[in-house]
Amino acid sequence: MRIWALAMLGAALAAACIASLAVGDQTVALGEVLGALAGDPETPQVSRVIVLDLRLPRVVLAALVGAALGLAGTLTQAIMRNPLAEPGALGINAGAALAAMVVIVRADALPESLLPVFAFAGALAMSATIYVLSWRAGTTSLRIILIGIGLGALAGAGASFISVFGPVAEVQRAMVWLAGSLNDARWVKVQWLVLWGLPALALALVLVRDLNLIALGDTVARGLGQRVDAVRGLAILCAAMLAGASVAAAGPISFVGLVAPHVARRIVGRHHAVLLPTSALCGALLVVLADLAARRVMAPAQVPVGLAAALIGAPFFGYILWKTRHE
Amino acid sequence: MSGRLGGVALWSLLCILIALLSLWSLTVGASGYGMGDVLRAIGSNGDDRVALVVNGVRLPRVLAALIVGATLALAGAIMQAVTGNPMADPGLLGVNAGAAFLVVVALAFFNIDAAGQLVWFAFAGAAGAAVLVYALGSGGRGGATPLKLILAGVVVASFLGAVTMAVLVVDGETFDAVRLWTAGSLKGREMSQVAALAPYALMGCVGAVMMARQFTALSLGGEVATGLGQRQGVWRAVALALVVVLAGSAVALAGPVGFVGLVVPHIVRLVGGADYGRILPFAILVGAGLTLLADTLPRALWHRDMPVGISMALIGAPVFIWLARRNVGRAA
Amino acid sequence: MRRLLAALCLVLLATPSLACEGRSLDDARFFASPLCLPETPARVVVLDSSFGLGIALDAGLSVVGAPLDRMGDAGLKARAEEAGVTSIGFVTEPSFETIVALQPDLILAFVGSESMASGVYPMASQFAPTALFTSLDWQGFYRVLADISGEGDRIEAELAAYEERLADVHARMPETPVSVLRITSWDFQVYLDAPVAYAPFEVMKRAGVVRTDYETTDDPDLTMKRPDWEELAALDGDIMLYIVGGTNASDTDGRHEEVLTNPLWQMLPAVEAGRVHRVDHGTWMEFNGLGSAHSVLDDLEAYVIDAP
Repeated sequence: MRIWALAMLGAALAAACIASLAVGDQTVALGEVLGALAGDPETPQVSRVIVLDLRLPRVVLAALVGAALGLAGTLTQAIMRNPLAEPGALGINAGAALAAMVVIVRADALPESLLPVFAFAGALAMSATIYVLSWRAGTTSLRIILIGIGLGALAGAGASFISVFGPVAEVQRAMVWLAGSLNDARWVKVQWLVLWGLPALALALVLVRDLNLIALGDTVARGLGQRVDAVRGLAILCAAMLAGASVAAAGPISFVGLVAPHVARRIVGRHHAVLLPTSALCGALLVVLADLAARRVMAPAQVPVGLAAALIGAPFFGYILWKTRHE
Repeated sequence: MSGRLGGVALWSLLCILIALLSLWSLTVGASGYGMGDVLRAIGSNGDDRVALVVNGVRLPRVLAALIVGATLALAGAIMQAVTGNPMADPGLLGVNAGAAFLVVVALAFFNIDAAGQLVWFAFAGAAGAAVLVYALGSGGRGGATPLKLILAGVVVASFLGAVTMAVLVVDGETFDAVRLWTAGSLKGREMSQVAALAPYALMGCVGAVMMARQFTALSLGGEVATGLGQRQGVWRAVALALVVVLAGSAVALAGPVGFVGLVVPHIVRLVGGADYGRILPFAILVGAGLTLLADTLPRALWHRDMPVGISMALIGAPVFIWLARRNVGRAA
Repeated sequence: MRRLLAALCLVLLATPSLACEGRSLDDARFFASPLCLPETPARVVVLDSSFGLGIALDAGLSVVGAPLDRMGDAGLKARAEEAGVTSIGFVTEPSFETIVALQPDLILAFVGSESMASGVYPMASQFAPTALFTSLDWQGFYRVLADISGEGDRIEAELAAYEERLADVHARMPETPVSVLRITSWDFQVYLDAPVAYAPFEVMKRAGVVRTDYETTDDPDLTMKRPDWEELAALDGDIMLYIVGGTNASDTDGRHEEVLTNPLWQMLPAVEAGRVHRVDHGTWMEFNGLGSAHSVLDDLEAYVIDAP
């Protein structure tokens, strides 16, 4: 059953990617799309540029961002032992957003090419601060979440401060970035995402067994010999790297980290060895679909991809909650 | 303890303090009018510049600050009683975000800008968000635990925030129009707006104070309350209605201002204990005073007109964090 | 020996700097300069719909694409459409697919700041040589574009005529302080006499107009202030020019009347003296080149110099 479901998921993702490559502001025939991908020299130059330099990096970036967010969400929900937790709730997005706003608005001092780096650093700094502040002879999930929310609000106030007192044009651009967009999808962003994401992925795979264990509760896990605080710290670091990398690439996209793990859990159950990759697939599918919808539904106007993800994900989320309300 | 009498005396003292604070706030502004000018101008029907500025520009702002502070503090106190969650607040539980979202929709798509009409959108949004948060937070084991409610609030607030932001990004004009308001701002409030919303705020305040005993019972927990003969379902619904009216009026007036509802009840409880009959009246005054202070101080000290939502967040978030560190002891 | 040295010199001096086969643009006001642009660009895409589009059309470049969607300046939009310009979307989210399909050989924009340029450059430069002007010197931009389009002489003449007129206006400009206010449906906006002033107000400054203290600043970051009714009193110039309508509905939704009947407005010195004039939003808020600059000077002549 599981293998079947996973295969379907993979196929759906592939189909979504092909659809995303075939559809856009300019009509490119499916034959030409496939030809461009295959390197067929007969394909017209314009079609080749559109498919390979515009749509392909965008699809790849969307899928990777979705996968990263799905993974980050699974990690967060595992260590918080709470199905409503997501990296956004932990204030990680707010930290990245604040850092990004500083760059965009004060950018005569800071070039915008530093934007991804700052956003990533902001996410990491935020998670470190959350962890430190929630340390009181150890950490508890509840404290981490609450402090994350508090710090997120503080970062949000900081970002609001900048948006109110900053120059209007830059602020409006910052607002577009804050809404989440894959418009500026380039291969170099994919590179950065992979660069930051791979170590995080490796770390997550190492933690798989510990994640299963920590779900049983602190006391039980400790009793079974787990160093609970260390695991929590590492998992938060991992989630922050993944979430931070995706925010750096595409701006803050909320909801994917919340919904993807839920859908994955419905499909393959709770064991993190399978749950993690499935979450990644679900997240990738969600973002690729969201980006497709964001680009086309109100064409030529572009809806922010974060909003599209939220709108697509919300019904699924509601349905799942309804189904599991008695669990 | 000298109980009631001591309480009344303290409350009256606080009233006088708030009045003095308001008078001081009326002297803060770009035109440099002193206390003498202000005293002469208040309420006068004069059409000289001082009177126009004091009555038409500064007074509405002061009154709005007081109203917003009082209503949000009450809303927070009620939410904390009903949810048994010491960290409940209309901002955190998405109520403000819901109200703000529908107000933005009204501005952008229906071109409504009269406060008296916008407030109904605020009510609807607040109610919708509250119901959504409660439904989301009660799913699964254990019902609506404090943690789940807060997380549900964050989820709903961020969802609504994203949708609101999307509307603003697409409609640049509305974006500029509400740029300050979305951060929670009292700048440019007019007497007509204050007058339109004051009745609702008043209704909410009076209603809340009248129900104080029920809230005390609710705050003692579900079983105790039922034991005391309270029909919980009814009173929870009443509480929801009050929160919607209170928070909705505040948002319609100043945009989403967070943390007042969180911080003020805690301050008041330090003095008043757990009796909502004392907490609520004091919350009105402390909330009003705190908000007025947060709105006036940046202008008085640094000549910067900082949106009150930002000032409150800068004060309130550290308090929230401190509370989280203090209150949460054991592993969850 | 001498012949060998001569030959060596010839070779060294004649070696071309790494093969720019078009025109090399070495101008620090352009992002990522020096740039290698085509000698005679025939398909230019402009990324902004005000300064860039207006000046490119004026300079005679063959513009094939610009972000015409939701443009506020109807006149410029009509002009562009007539010139056969295809819309590439909305200015903050241009469709790069459409840009690529237009097969541009040059991408241009008047960006006005390094930061905005650094946001656009990486994407745009993948598809065509991209020249992003980061300074606010719109006359300098004219000259560069005219150089590229080969109409340098005509543009130089027009700019010279403008400078002459500017000097003439300056000489006749009285010392009376003038206040300029924009009334929107939701607030007041005052565009300042500042180092980074918005173009029409820079024109005003160069024409020698004196503005009130509130409206003048040295702050390198400040372009606009938003006074409330109380601060409005700081606009105490002897003459008041105000802007309503345009990209917002303040001229039709009652805001205009509301402001004019407010006692605090009527107490302003200029209003009491009756020296208040409404000016056109298109001229003052939708600057797109020499045409706009001349319109600003027209208004200044009518309302400040020749005013009773």
